[in-house]
Amino acid sequence: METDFQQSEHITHTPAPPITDLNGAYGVVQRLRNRLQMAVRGRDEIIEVLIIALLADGHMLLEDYPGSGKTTLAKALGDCIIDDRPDDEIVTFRRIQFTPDLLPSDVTGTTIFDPNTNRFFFRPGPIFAHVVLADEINRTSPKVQSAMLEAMAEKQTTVDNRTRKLDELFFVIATQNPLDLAGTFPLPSAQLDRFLFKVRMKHIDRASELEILASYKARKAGAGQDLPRCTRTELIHARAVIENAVWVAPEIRECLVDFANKTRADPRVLQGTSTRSLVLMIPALQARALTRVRDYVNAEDVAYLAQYIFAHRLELAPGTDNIEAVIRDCINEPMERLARATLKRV
Amino acid sequence: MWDKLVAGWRHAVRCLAMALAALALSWGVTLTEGLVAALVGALAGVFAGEALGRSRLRLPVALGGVTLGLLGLWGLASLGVRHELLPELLGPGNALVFAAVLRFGGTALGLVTALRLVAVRRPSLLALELGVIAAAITSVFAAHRDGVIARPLALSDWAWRNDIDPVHVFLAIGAGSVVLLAVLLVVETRSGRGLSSLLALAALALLSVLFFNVSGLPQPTPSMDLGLTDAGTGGPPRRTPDAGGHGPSPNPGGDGGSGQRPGEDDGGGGPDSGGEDGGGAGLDGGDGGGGGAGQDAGDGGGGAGQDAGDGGGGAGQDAGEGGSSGGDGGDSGLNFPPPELSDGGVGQAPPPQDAGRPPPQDPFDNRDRPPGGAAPMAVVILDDDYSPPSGAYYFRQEVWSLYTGSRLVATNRNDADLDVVDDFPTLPTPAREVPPRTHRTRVRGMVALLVDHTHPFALESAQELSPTPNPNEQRFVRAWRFASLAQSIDYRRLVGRRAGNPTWSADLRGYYTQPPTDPRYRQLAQQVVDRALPQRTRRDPFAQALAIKLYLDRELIYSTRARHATTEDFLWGNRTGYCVHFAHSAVYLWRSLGIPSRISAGYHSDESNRRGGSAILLRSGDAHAWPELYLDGVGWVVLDIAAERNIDPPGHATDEDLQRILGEMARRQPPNPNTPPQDVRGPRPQTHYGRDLGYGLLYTLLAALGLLYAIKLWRRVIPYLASPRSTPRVSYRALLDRLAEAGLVRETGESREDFAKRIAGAVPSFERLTALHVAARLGNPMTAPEERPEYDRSTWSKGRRDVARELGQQPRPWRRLLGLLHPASWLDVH
Repeated sequence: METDFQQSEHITHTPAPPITDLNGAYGVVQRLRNRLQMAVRGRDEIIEVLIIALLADGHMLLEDYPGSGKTTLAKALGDCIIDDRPDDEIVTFRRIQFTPDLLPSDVTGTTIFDPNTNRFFFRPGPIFAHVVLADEINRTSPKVQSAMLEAMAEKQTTVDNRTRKLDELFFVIATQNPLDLAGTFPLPSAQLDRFLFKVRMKHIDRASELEILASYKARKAGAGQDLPRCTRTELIHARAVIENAVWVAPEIRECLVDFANKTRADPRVLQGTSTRSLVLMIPALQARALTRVRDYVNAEDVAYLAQYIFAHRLELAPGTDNIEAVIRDCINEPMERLARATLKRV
Repeated sequence: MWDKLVAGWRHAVRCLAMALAALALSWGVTLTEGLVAALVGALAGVFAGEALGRSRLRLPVALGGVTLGLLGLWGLASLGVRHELLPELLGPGNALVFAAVLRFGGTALGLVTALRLVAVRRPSLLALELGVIAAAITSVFAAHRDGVIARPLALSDWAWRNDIDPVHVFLAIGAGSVVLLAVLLVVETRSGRGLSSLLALAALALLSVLFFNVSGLPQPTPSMDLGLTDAGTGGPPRRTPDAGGHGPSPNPGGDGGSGQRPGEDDGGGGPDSGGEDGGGAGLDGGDGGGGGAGQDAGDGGGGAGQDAGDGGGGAGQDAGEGGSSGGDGGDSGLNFPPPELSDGGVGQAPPPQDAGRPPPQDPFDNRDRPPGGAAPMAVVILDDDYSPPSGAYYFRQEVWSLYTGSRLVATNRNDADLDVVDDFPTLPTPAREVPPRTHRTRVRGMVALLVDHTHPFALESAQELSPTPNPNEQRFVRAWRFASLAQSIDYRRLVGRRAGNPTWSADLRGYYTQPPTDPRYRQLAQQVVDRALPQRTRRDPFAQALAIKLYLDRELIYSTRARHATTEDFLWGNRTGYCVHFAHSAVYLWRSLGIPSRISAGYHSDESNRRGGSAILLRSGDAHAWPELYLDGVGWVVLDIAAERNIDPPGHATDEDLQRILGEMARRQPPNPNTPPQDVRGPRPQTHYGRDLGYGLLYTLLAALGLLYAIKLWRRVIPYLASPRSTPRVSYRALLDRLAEAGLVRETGESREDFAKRIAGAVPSFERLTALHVAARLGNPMTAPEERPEYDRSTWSKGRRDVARELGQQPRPWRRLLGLLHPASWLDVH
């Protein structure tokens, strides 16, 4: 590791007190939220989704245009995290710019012959980080994409037949430009399925944009840099707390399954929701409940996350292009059933 | 789904309704071009109104613009007919078409535009639009009421021809219109609530159909009669054959007070002991006190005022001739004309009054109501061709011969006025006294009543009444047959007969000739007779009576508006009155000369009204009272007064179609000669559309209503009684009930949280309570209840108070009241 790079990261050797309850987990959420909102203006909803994805151990795909703040967002997220295990080879943030001529080893790392020791040693690629920004992921070849996606799914990477584990807090923010499709390799649906959320970013509103222009100088000067961060271990703990302490009622699970069946029966949908996506949704729902200071998942969580989770997983029949309308129609009846269930005698 | 369906259909339905309304209003009023223009204008108005409604124009400005445009079009249209320019340019026919197109098209356009505009801007004023449509469609059938059946004729003729009851056609059209309006209402309001309330409305309509016999033909309501019908509040003076302990003094020589029955006065005479007193009281009291006078005095038909004048004039002339050439001698020598009777010009009479009421001041009083006596009362079918010598048919229902001091009422003697049958016949009922058969012809016939009457009536003089099946239960209330001995002897041949019946006792004779106490009658009568009659005939009763009649014809003025306290008041007053005044005057004058006379009340119809058919339609305006005198060998002879001057507005002409149709019904002839007569099937049973079914439905509905309220109450009360475990659920449900009463209902597919957020503006505390409720249901059940605030009852009772307070601050308190009364508001909660 080059020392100059390491200095830019926040390192601590003293572990923070462990997080054991939802209040502590919510403290993590608040710290992340405050820092991110300070760094990126007018993107509060994306920030929420980002925090949920991070806590739900998922990955995010941002569909946006250049200059929309995705790099800023990813860097700000990396900046939030303190590496409390500086001895391993994993850093807090890395960015990979995907190009057609990129090779898998450029991502995963490669073995290099060291003439001094007469031995090969492994030099980790940018994927060995807590937060990885995979920029324009659809521009690279499927070979690189699959290497990347293996890492995302398994939290491990295989170089020279040797499998190396990635960090437990491995979070990928991938981006792709939905308009500029010339010379791209669109992700197949199986690989899209690896992303927990796909978020289409929209242009921010006028007031936020004005604020960005006004606060540009202050942010350059480092405003908000002294806001509290959280350590990697705290995040791992928060994930565990959420998984154990946020209650998912059976009615919610019924609602999810009903929704899946609805999408499978809908004539506008070629391929309905996969079971894996439902499984992935549970931690996402729990994380969302936490961001709302709740110890149970409710219907609003389902409605809120459905678009982000299912929009890129449903394959629509030809002639249908409004995926949002399809999801809205399909979730209507399960939601109604869920709402009625709350008035029924237990 | 529903919204989409509605969005497509709304405009089509609205266009249809508006086009129908425009056609209904302009049908028969304008040319074909005008009709088409109205149609197009209405259709264009729908779209123009819609477009204007969605524009940013302010409502008053837009309405003003529409009005201005309408005025402009009218101005342009008047240019076509008022000025010569356009007719010269286009020709007169084209100019008329131009004007009609502009006028009707423009009116339809402006009206529909304005209605639509208002409805778009203020959805509640949609009622206005619907009301106009309903009124327009109804107006076509407006004539089909008050007993005048089967209007419009274009439709009913078609139905008769195809052997369909026009009532069913009308009902079908009405049902269609209702459906159309209902669809329009549902479609415009765009909510499920409209649909459910329409269901309730339909149930109510069904109930009313079941309970009220709406499918029958319209029953006329008599706007006036002489107390002949059952409809009024004031009954006629009853005949009382035995007047209990207070029988009248049979002494004809008694004074006015002696004729009065203290126990049962007729309401007219009141407590007056004599005519003078009565007059004074009447003068004081004016005509305002007619408490018992339930009937009103429409006008019967001054349409024949001209005739009356002519007839009376002729008679007067003839009488003068007769008087001057008194030497002709002999019965036939007297060139007396038959008394010309006016055509209903003397049709009106006040109702005699009820005994139970406080004694009114005016014995003749009848409530002053607008004239209108066209409601059909009965139809008479004559089996025998009979042409009365008087030129009019007199149907006698009752007789007033007892002098009470202020007027004549029905007798209480059991030996007088026996020629009238009192009760509707259930068996063949002969009259207890039949006039001599000579000089009379037997006429049989039948009466079918449209409105119930107190007594039967028959062509004078009734010989026998017999029952007959009601030819049409839906139409007529009852029917009977009569056989009468109608006068056939010419009036000219009545001279030279003795007055009265030699078989009468002196007492009875005195009864019929009991004169009024006022001596002026005798003076006037003598004076008239002396002046009109030559010496030879001066003692002849009929000549005397006729002279007085002709004198009264000349002197009296017909008006149903006139009110007089007493006959004296009338005769020595302005002499303006109607048949009851006339009849009293005549009878008093005759009696003062010793001629036995009385008043008969009933119906009167001019012979010409028959129009050659055998059916005579009696209308409420034909109710009449007339004087009669008794001539030996002839019996009671009608000698009606026909005033030469009539200051009433002309009445209604006879409705020949109605007369014909009702006559056919009474004869049970099918309107279509190709179908067999209905006799084989017998009278049609009256359809009540299952009254039992109606009661069943009513009780079911009431039970359902009670059940709904009980459930509503239960859901409101149960939070106070529920166990802690179910407190959140029932408390939250009670809150939802309250919100539903205020019209705040969760939409399908909306999550509880979204709903709470949506109404947070009105009910801010509801969001917190929703979170509690959902937490109770979806939260971790392993958590101890003590740690969960949602199971705390005090939280919920406070929440209920908060919500109630916040709802109380809502701006529309009536909305909450309605919600509270709504039995099924909780059905919206789910």
